[in-house]
Amino acid sequence: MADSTSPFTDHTPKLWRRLDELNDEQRNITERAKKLFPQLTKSMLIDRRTALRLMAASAALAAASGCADNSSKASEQRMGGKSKGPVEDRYTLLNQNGTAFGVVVRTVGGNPVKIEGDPDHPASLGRSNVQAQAALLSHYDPDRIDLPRLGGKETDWKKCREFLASFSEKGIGEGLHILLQPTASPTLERMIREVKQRLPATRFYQYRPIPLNNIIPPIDYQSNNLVISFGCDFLGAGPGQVRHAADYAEFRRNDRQESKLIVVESVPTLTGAQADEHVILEPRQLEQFIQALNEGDITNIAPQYRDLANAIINEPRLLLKGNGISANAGEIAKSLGAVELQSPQLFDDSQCADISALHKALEQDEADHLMILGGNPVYDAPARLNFAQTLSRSRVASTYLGSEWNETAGLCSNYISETPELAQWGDLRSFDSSVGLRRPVTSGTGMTAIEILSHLAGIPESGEMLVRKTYDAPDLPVEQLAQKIRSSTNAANNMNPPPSGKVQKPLGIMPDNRFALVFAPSPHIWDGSLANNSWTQELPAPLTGLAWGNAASIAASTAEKLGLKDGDEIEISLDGASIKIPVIQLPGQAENTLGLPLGYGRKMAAIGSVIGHGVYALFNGNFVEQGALVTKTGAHHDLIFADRFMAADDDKAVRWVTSETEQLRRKEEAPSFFDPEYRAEKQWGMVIDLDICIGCNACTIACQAENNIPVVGPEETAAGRAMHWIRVDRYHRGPAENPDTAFQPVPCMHCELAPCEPVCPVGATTHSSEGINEMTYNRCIGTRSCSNNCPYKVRRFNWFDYQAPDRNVGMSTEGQNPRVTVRDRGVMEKCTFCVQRIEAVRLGDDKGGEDGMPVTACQQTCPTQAIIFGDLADAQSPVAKARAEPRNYSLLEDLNLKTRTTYLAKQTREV
Amino acid sequence: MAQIFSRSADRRLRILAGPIILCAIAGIVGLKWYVKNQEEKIGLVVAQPIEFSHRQHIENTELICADCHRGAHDGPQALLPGKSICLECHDDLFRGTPKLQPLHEAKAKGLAINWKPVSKLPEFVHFHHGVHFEANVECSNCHGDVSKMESVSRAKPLTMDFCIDCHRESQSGENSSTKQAVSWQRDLTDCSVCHY
Repeated sequence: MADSTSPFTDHTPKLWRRLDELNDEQRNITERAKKLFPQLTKSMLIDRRTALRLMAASAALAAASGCADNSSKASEQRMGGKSKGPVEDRYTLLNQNGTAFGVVVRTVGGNPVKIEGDPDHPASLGRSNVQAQAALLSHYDPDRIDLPRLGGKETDWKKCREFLASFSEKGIGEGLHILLQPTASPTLERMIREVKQRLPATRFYQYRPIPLNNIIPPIDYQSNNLVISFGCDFLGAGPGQVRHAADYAEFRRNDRQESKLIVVESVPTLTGAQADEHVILEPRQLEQFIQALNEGDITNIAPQYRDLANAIINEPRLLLKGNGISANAGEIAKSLGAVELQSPQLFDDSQCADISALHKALEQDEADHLMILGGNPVYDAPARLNFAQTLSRSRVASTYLGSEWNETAGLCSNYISETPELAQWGDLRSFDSSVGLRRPVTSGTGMTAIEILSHLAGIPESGEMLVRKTYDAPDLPVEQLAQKIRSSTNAANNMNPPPSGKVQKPLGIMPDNRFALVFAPSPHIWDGSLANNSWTQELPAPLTGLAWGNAASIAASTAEKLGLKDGDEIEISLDGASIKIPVIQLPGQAENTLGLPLGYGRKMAAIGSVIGHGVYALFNGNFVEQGALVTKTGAHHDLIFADRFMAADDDKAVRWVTSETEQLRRKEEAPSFFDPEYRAEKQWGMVIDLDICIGCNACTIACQAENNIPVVGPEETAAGRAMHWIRVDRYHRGPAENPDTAFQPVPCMHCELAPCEPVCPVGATTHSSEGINEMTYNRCIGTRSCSNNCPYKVRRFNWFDYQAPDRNVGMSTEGQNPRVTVRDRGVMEKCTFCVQRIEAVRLGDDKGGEDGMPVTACQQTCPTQAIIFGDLADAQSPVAKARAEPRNYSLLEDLNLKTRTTYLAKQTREV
Repeated sequence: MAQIFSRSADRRLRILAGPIILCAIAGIVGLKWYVKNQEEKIGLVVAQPIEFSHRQHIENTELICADCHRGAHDGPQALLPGKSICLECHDDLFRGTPKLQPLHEAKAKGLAINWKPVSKLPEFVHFHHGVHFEANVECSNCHGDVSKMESVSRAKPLTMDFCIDCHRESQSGENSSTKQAVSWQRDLTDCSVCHY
């Protein structure tokens, strides 16, 4: 396809998806197949007789298995879906790393079935991220413990309350130590004060592995055309991701040629993937780079970065610093920053000491009772404290409030189950400091941190009353209360973070054989709190493609030096601690540096237990460490890639243009016999703007929630059977050391000349008059011919009864979307353009978007609004306008399938 | 060596062949008839928790369907009435009647009346009741003449054949009494009209 006679104008150099493709010029299909499916190479050795025997046996077994009707019972159990009760949309706030994320929860008969962003909330703008979507599955966690346990024995809530009240009755709180998970809640701050008043000797501590207080507030790009990020992954996962991505997309959309983003980092991030200039330096070099900038002396800077350095020094710019650089580099960046973003202090931690003070108190046996309210310190506390050992050694009685039975719960004598997130009362500040009301959208039992503190303070009250008292509104209707809280002056603390006073140690000179470590929260399971959520576990990480596990990322050249291939295990030791973890080569990573995703390797997390490798053993609160020793252990792990098996084989899958008017389309329309008759009023279509797709995966998980898509588990994912209807493909171009990165969401293309339709023997996949490639599940007999014939590989097959209620890894029946049929075993499925939403708008059951048109789940969720869906027959609709842009093209355009889903090419700056 | 087949074997086969083929045909036809009946369930009477006469309620009062089936005219489902709807009249009316005792008992105990649906579609069919009412489809088209039924039984097959016949006629204009009730006209025979 990439020959010189191609009818396209195109500047795209060769695209590659993985490092082994980059050097693989031959692209021999057999060789590639062997690489992709190593298990198949074994079967290639089978002789003819064995093959015949196997065929005969499988035919007999297939016939035998057809006798049992295994589906009807399951369907019966899943029924009722359509008559579950009234549909209602309810507003609340989710807690994302201690700050607010506003959502609308759709409930059917009181049960939540879908979470969408709240259009009026500053952190969500009606869109959402992976964590917000995944909160729905967490709500139906089958491992939740409903009753409290005192002294290891299950008890009732009355006894639990009496137990808590006993603290306020005896003494002044001498020996009572409370470890909090900082949460940006004014009511929590008030309750801490109340407890201190009643029990003045109580001591408070706080800990959260990903700090709450250094989050970047919304960025004002006004008048700043040059944005520089020093290790600041503002487009990466986190409570601010959606707002940052939305603002960023606006910033780039307005003037691509004038605006510029420079990212300086050691381990590639989603922000780095968007950069116009990507500076990749080892942490130590990075520190020197910033130092040189600060001194205005560019002679020490590598020649290829000197122009850039000059621009950073001399031009007006917006400077962001994040966790991807060393603490010392951060300090220098502060003094360098003409523009420095002031993050407000979201949680007033002046009343709480650090967790290391608690460690000291435990060691000196000062505590009689330790109360841990939320979090999971036994798993994620700084390694040097060895919290698990300290806690189990000391004879202190302990109580843990948590939403799941985890490592910390296992070590504490008492367990109080936390109210499910969607059933809590409370208030939360958003990352822009505005405050809002959390209110229950469904029912659930348990207690919250504020309720426990109120018992300790001797004023036991419900969460609702505690919040109302904070705002002095004991009997305001809920809507007015929410309004009052939103406009309250209590909103922000408006305190600048106190100067740390700590002298930041510069990274020393590193001996040749030592490595730098860069820690970061995992893009999907975050700090580990979402490890027991199969949606996030099965979602492939955007830059590595890894699902159900993690690996240390390493530069290809460094891996070669150490003789490492993907999946080979290394031992990393730092300051006496060591971990074992497999490696994965990552394009665009600095040499002699390891990227370590936090959150995996949980020991007690139900389905998340022993998935991936824990790295907290090396983590001491610094996101960049230096001087680690790395040795190859010789062991090998089979990494699970969810995205390896599916790809549209297109050499120009992602295209780049250098100006907005550049014509990408065929120079002249090829002659055609295709003469469609568009009978229906609406002709649905979708355009995906690759220029502003940041690869966050929110669309994939939103689609999973909306369309009752099952979870298949690690073994099946490894076999290439993940069921996601929209996948996000990742492409690179250029050298492995510093390539361009592009993301491409791939749903069903809804071809007008769909190759899947004529090969279906039973007419289960057909074309609707509105241009939707329909899938009729109850007709499908599972020949899989359609999937075989689909060049985009977007069809998914239910190899097993993934939705069986007893599998316990997916969504429970109450949480299924009643508008979408739950598929049985042996049925093909794929993207439907959210036909249930189209029908709901048509029938008047739903309002649709602002223009009254249906909105697909992926479109609604997309933080940058890169997905546009609508009516192509209306030339004035946003989708028709986007399709008419010169940047518009189809995937595998040469096949002439007349796809209804098209893409807008990425734009690059003219050099 | 003795012959395997006797002289008469061929004759006997010819005589038997006819009945065997006939039996096979009869078997297939019978099976089809049986399956069809199983699917259609015409005349099926479902026992209800409270004996209820549709005839009496329609003939002797001015009630219309939607008075009790509150979703029938505009909702996605017609809905079976909860006890509070029955009690709107029967809290006073015929209070002492023995037949109504289960109703009052349910109210006293706070229980729901577990009506059994007679016209029920499989879960993979998305059927919007209100739209069919809007489209001028007569209730009796699918439910039979309920006003004459003492206890409601299934009157029409409610198979896909039955649905699609009406959709086809409506689409082609053969059946002019019905109309497309929703915005955005499209083919009524698209699979995704009902299946998604």
